[in-house]
Amino acid sequence: MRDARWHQRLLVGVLMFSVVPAIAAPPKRLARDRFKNGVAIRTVFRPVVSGPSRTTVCVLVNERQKALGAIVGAEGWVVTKASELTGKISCRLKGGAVHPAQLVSLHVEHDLALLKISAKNLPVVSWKLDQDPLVGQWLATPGVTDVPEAVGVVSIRRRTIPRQFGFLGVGFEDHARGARVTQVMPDSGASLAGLKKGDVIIEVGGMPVAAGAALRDQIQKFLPGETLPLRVLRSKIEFDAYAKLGSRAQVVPDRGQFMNKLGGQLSLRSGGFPAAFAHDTVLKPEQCGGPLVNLYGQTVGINIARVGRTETHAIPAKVVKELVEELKTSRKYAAAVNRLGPAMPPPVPLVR
Amino acid sequence: MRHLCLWALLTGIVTLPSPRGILNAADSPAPPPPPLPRQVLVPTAPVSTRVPLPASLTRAVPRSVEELLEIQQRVRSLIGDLSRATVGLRVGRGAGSGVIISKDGYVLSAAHVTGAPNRSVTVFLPDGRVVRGKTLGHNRRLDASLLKINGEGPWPFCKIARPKDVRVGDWCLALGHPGGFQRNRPPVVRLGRVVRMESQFVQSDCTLVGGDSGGPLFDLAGNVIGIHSRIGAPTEWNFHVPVIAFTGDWPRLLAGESFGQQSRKKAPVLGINGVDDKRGCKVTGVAPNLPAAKAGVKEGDIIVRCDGKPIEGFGALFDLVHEKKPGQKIRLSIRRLEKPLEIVVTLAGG
Repeated sequence: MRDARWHQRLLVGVLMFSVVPAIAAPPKRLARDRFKNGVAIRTVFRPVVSGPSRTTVCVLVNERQKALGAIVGAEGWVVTKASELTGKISCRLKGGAVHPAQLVSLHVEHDLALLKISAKNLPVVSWKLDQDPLVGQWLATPGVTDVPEAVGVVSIRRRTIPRQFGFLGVGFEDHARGARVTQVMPDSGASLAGLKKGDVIIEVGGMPVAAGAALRDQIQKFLPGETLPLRVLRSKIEFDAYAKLGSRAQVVPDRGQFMNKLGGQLSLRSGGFPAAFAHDTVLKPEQCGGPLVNLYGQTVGINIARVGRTETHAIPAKVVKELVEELKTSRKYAAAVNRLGPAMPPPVPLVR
Repeated sequence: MRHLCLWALLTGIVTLPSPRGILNAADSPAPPPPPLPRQVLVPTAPVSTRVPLPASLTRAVPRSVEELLEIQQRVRSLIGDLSRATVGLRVGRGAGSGVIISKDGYVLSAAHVTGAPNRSVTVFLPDGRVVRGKTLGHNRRLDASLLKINGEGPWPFCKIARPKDVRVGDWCLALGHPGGFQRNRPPVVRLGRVVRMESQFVQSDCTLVGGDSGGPLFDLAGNVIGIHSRIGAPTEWNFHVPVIAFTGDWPRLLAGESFGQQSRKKAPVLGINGVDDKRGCKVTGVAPNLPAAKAGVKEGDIIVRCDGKPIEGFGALFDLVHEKKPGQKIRLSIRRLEKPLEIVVTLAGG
């Protein structure tokens, strides 16, 4: 992985910088490679992730890393975080082989998706099913290299994470045919979908919009990360638009959220999980979706969201294992793949 | 008030004195303290005696997975006792954390959480008890404060480490109530190391956020080695009040004195948030109305050089900015949608 190699070079560079003054003065600072997430400490975890890194994949969407994934079936079944997957999906294995992936099914509440890649005889994650990891236990997040992406400890035992509501990012008023857009917030899902002030939203998810309040109710049925199909009227032209919903906190700045974002981006979808435990591993949103292992290399859960400066959420292994069988067979979950929207959204008319 | 506390924590980031300033402050000789009258019994802080730790817990880098397991076992054996002594606090409309350090109910916290002496405090114990207390003295400069739970107890408590036993590289545990105390959520545990020590603060890589303020940092002997105070943008910028702020001024804190002026010295402020990138530092957030936003830095920009010097990640940019003074200019070389761009930013003070 190019990123990782670069990162190591950087850390070696920083180490050299920090060692020189340490000779002259008493050590007031710790060399960066010895920080909890420094290269020297993560290297101690090499034996822990030597197996798990072969059961981890890097999930690429339109050729860019959007998540990690866990191989759960030797015939090419991969579990990953669903809400990042809008676009053309492929998986890169340890060793560099890239396989195109098909989105088979997804579970909206858990935000887990099942992918199928055309590879055989793959190593499969070894689940730790009898017990959740205990608060204070070490956890490593393997990538597709020999050293884990990051390490941490369990912070909060399993609980239900309160529901989060999808946020479109428009102001609107009632209109004879639906809801007329009075404001589009910059960088919101609405703005990225091409909505403009003056557009009239006439259908949401196939349901006609009676008035502004109905639009709000419809939006709140969806979660951040889901794509909201809209039928829009603009200067007598009707067209379809697909807006990927965000969360209110990411579009409307507030101080608490500003603090939580100190130190890196957060996942779009970060709430509404039926069961998750929290750990203090500092991950990027695109490092979620893959296995999380204990010191014995057993998979104790799947990283599902980076939710704040102090917390990453993971779904316990037992919950994922039981869900995988359903994801393979149930039609209900296969139909849900539409909730991520089309890989290539139709063009939006240029008229005003 | 809650917002005030959050804001206090947030501005604490930017009011952090530059390293050079700290060294100067430490070098200047302090006037000798006035002699105390003999008949007054001087109470002392309940400080723990030194506990020798096994070598596997103190090595610069653990030698094997077995040694990681030993760290884990130590952490597991401590967490119960440490959690029982870590409390949530509500003072007025502000919220924070604290730690009980004696059987009769003395609690350490941060001055920006408790405010003035002699205020009424609500204390939330992890076992579900909600009790009242009163704030005692505080040191505004170091952000240290003491309070007392009403009633004799016995309360669950943890001891304070001897200040000289705290060393750079020590493994440490941060407990507290990020986002404020929540019923049915025990204190949230984070593991890290002491990464820097100065006379005015201890820095660790245990991530903190609003609501943790006043909560304890423990060593692997289970003693308090710091009190959570403020954060900076990189995840390893977590600052704690050193325990000497408590042990060194114990009689004044007990007497309910309010002392120490908040540092007036302003630190340079750029006003961006970012992550490491292959080419330098990627801007992930621009705070409104701060210098970077005013100069036209945008989210998604990649800062590759600062005053002509290539930068290696967000932490390095942060360090470069902190070598400057408010009012000075810095030149940022930026790649925006692959196009090069030079932006000159005048740093603010905060």
